Amino acid sequence: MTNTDQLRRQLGLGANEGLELAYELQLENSDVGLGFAATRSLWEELVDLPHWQELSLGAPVGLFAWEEQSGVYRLWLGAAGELRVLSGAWRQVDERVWHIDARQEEVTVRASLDSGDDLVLLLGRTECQFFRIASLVEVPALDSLTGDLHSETWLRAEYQLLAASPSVVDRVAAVGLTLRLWQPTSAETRRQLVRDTLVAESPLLQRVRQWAAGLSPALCGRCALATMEDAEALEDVLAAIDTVVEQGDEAVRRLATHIALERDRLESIVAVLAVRGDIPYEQGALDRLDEQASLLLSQLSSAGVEHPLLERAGEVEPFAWWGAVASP
Amino acid sequence: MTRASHKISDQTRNWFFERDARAYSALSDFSTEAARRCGAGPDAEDLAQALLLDLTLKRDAGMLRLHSTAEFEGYLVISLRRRHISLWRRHGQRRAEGEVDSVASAVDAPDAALDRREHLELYVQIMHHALEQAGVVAATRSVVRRIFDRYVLCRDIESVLMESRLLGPDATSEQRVQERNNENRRQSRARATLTDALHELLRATEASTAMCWLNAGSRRIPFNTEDVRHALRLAMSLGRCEKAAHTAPKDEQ
Repeated sequence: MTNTDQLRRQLGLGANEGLELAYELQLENSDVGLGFAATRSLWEELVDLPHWQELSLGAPVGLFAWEEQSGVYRLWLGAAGELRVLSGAWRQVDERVWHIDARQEEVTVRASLDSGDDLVLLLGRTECQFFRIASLVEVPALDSLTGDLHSETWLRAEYQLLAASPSVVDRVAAVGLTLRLWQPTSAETRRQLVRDTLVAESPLLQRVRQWAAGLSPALCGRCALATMEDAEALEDVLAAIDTVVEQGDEAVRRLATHIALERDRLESIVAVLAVRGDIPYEQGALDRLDEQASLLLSQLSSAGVEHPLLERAGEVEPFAWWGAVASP
Repeated sequence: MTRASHKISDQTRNWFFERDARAYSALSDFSTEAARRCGAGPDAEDLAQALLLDLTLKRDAGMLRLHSTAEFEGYLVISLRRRHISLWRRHGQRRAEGEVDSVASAVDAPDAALDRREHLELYVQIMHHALEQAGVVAATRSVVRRIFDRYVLCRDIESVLMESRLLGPDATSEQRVQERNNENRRQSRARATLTDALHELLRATEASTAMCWLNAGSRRIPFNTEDVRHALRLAMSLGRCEKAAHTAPKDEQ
């Protein structure tokens, strides 16, 4: 499929517009209807033979795949807004319905909804991807959050990685990570800060609170939704750990590290939402993930996970499983 | 240090959540003392201050969800133990990277006891290595980890069992006794496996003229025959002072 850079160019996105992959699915390759499709035009066949299978994208655009043949789709715009097919073969059936032929080349569709959602669908013969376009939030430099106090090397590296991400949610996670896990490296500064925080709120917390107050409710809603979706996806990854055992210790270690780091990233998003006073409305997805992880705790703990971020998480959140797996 | 600093009172916990400055000295004393019991030396106070800094920030950010004083105390103790271990892990890593001179920096809050602990960490790594070389199953390795928790870190057997979810917090006294006995049997078998594995590693090390290495995650750490002998001695000593290990704080033994 078209890579993200090509897609960004095709969409003409500016530097401050992020393109987030929200969902992707693989379809079976089917050519059952190829014979009779050749006798009439595809568009005529589609009007007469509506055997569609709904593909759930979790988007306000309905997507259906023709059961007879891979790469043929029906799109339904279920919300107020505009839908444009930017490239590929297509026919508009009525005001809200389009037929798409992605058998030969990929089709790119952009839907700009009145709700403010800006979506892109990339449809291929056996693959579909659904992206969200979002204005990227400006993330402060790490030093401005910490008041120019020194940060650990690993934190600086993780912060830069997340803060430069094309995903808005990752950028929010960068600030949350700092709030949760940053500490000055100097013992004297730590002592001074403890004395200060006895009578006043931590300067770091004040700066994060101020930054988080500037986030739009829509963006925070998306962060909460992304946290839920990522937690559910991570639950599936966690379930796969048993099958990875056959691939050896190193594969298990890599997977366990990935799962723990991902869970920690979700915690960073939740931290920013909590500072704003927004309780993530789908905390349940995180609870389910944590419950499943706790059942696999001994397996995860013996995987040999080592990461400074997770060790630090283990210090700050001693009851959290993702810190415990990297801590003795 | 008085015995009172071995416990956190409900009052202290309330003061802390009410942002009453009186909580500070009680928490500071408790945490410094708990860090010492984890084995920290002069850096115990710094470990405690670092913990208090995290704690106040989490509280003010609404991220601290501790429902009882016991949970609060557990949070402090586990967190301090992890901080202390992280400290000597970082030291061990620098040693493996040949940066021994840079250890005594303000960043690491150097502990006078680090040299001893540094060796202890190496011996624990050698034990893990020996078990791995002997192809010992993961379940036994988990038991060995609990042996280290109990005897190297001097933790109470029940809290180790609870952390490993082998004992529920609501267990009756009969169930506790039963689980302690089960664990003692498991640890006894695991200790025998561990010493066998170390004897085997010692034989292999003595027979080899090449430098020996062990993998600790992404790092490779060198070791020699003498290190394996020390590790074996340490392994054979684990469990001998069981009573002392969990009936009195370390500084009072």
